[in-house]
Amino acid sequence: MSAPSAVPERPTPTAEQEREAEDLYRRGLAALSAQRPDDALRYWELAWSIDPRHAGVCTALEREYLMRGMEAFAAGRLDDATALWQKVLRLDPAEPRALAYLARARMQRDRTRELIGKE
Amino acid sequence: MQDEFKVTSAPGRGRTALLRLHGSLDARTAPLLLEKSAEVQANGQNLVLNLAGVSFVGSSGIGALLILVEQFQEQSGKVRLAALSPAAEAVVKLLSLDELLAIDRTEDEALEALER
Amino acid sequence: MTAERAARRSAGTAAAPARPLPARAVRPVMSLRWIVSLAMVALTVVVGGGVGAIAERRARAELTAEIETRLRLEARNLALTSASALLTDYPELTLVPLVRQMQSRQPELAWVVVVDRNGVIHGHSDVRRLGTLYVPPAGLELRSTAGAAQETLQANAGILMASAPILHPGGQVLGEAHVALRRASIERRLAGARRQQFVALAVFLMAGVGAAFLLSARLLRPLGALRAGIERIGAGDLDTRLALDDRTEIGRLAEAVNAMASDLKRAQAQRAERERLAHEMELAQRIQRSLVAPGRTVAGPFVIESAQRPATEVGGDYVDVFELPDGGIGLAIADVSGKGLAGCLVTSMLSALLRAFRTTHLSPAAMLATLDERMRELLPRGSFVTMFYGILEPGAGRLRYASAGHNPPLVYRARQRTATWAPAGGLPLGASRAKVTRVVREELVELEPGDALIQFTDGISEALDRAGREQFGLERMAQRVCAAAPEGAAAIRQALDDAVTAWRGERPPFDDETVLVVCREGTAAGGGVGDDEALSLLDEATRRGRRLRLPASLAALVRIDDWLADCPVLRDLGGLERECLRAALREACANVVEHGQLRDGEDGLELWWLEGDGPAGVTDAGTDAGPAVAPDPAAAVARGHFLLRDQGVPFRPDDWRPTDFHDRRVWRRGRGFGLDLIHRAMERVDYHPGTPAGNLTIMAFGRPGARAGREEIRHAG
Repeated sequence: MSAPSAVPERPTPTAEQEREAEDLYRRGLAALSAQRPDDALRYWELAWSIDPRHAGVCTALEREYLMRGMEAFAAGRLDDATALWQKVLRLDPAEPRALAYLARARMQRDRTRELIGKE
Repeated sequence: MQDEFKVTSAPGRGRTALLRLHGSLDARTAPLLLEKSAEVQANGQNLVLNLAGVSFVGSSGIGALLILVEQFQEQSGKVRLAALSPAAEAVVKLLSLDELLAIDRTEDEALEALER
Repeated sequence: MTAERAARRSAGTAAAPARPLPARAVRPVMSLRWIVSLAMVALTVVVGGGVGAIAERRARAELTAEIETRLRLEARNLALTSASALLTDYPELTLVPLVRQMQSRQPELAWVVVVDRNGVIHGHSDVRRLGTLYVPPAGLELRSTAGAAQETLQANAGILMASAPILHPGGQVLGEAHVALRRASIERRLAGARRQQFVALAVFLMAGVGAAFLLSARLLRPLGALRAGIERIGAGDLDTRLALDDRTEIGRLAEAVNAMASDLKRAQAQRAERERLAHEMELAQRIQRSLVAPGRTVAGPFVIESAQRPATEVGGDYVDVFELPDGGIGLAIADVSGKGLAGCLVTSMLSALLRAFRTTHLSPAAMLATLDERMRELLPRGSFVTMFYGILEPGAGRLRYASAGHNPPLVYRARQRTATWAPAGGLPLGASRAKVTRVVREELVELEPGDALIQFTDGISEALDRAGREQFGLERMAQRVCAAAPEGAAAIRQALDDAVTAWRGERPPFDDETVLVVCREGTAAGGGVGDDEALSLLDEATRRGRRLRLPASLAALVRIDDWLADCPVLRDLGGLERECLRAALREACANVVEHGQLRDGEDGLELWWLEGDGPAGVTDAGTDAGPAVAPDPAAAVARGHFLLRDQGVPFRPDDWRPTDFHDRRVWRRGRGFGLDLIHRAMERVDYHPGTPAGNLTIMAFGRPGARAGREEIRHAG
């Protein structure tokens, strides 16, 4: 999965692109309900790359990243969790949940370093 | 002298009948005796035969007497001979039947004997 | 063959070697071992299965209880831990890792969920469920609650779920924690235990079967020995004993078999003993029979027949007939009181003594006296012998005899056709210690043609009938003899034998039946009136007798009465006597009329009275049947002959026998007394049919002199 590039430099999507994005968004939803979350993510990332302003896509992506991050976090993979949650911030830098999650992840890493002495 | 054979009924006593015989008791007349005795024969009936008038007794006569004693006995009756004439007595004694037959001197004695 | 060897031979095969067993079809046998083992297997399976099932139920229950307890604990712990997390902004940060850890450590948990009081999921192993509403699974039934804290345990078909409320320190409910366990995991654990159990069962089963096999093999081993022993006994080896050192029932069985073997042996010995005794008895019987041979001896006109039927017990009857130097015949019959071999010995002693003295002791009395002397020493105490010994002089027709306590002989007289008992007496041989010569009296019997003398032992006269009650008796004996006598000695012997056999029926004879018959054969013609004499009588009657002519009709017979009254000498007879004569003569004439088939008018009868003795040679015979009438003393010697002549068909009432008036059947018949009348009234009656002068009937009439008192018995034939 390629990290999406910075938003501001992109030109406004055309109507056709918007339609395509919408279509991809829907496909993503379908994939998700069909228990293919990875396909869904791909669809949505592609949709976002075409139309970053699609609200549904953003929301879906955020949720997805948050969840996957939480999974990684629960599995003890703090770095993966952090990376995923930071993706959320790229979509929405002020996403409170992501911020809180990241802070927690950071704290946990610090704590762990303190108690056990390694990273 | 051949007397005409006859058998007469006389009043007996109680269950005993009385028959008086006269004449010659031989092959010809013996069946008459049996007929007459059959008339008075009944269950439990006794018989007294008065032989005072019997002038001759032949073998058939003896035969008839024996038969009729047997017949009466079969019906639980008794037969007694009374007042045997000389002819009867002679033949009875000759054949030693006086030991086997009940014989009385008189009719009355015979009737009395059967009453008891 | 010596007696010893004979005895041993009959004693059976007690000492014989065991013979090989005949091949017997062997039935398929179910071995006890297999039965026991199979039973063991079945038992173990049942017991094991039963116990196992019960154990499993218990295990499941206990396991479930334990798991429930644990689940509850975990729920409670989760709740405790979740309390503070729920108060933070993002509880999922604490709860998700926690839940994830719980789940990963216990894979059997179906899920772990933490929910806030609004039902929103804040902790779940599947992060996608975060923030959604918690939906409890279907079909949950409450199993228990615990504590005031409302912890619950619920279950449905697939899961077991413990729930605990998440409480604020102040006591308010913040949410709920659920921990659910898949029930399948319990089953898996139990299944594992069960498999272990099966294996153990199988192992124990095999061990058990093996043990059962071995144990039963050991217990049943003696059975083989037992069977072998029994087979040996069956083969005849009664001396072997089964020595089984076995303390179970099998040992007792072996003892019983041993007891049986010794019982069998004893029974065999007893049987051998019995057989030996029977053999001895048979020997005795054979000896005896050799001493007493039935036979027929002929000496002049005399025929002597002897016969014996021995009883099944060996009796001691003896009969013997032997020749004497001067032509005489010795006749001996004896009854020994002992039985068996002892009786047999006495018999042989007797035989020897008789043969020794017979030529020297020609007087029967002397012979018996000598025998008594000799036997007295030899006879065992308490046993004695009755004996009849006679010497027959065939030429003179005389028999001299003496008796030592034996039955009197029966003498048949042909002319009278009666049988009488001749005197006998005396004491049995060996009965008294004193000399008995005086007591033995000698008697004499003259036998005329047709006469017979019969001796016997009491096996004949005392033979019991079928029912075992009535004896054959002397009367019956005499009757049978009278009936058969005219046909001779053999006929008499046979008649007696047949009569006694029929009398006895199926009963075997209890005592020896011995008979000795001496018969002077020939008809009793001598002394009677022959045809020539009859004709000469007729001649004389025609000349000086009193005649009566009668037509052939029964009615005419009454003329006899008057004629009798006219006859010389007869008219002087007493009334009764004359009546008897009258009756007799009328009967005689009636017979001729009836049987001679005379034609009335043309043929007739002639009746003569001939006074006096008649022609020389006519002797005074005994009466046929003496009249019971007392003789008229005045006419003490009225005698003469009546002659009856006719020209009709000749007939002869040959087979007439005196009527037995004691037999009531005779009365019922009521016929045939005519001849009795005639024979009783007359001394003798002779028929001479078909002479040149016609058919003649001669009746001798007269009074005999007083008889010298032997008792007479009148017998009907």
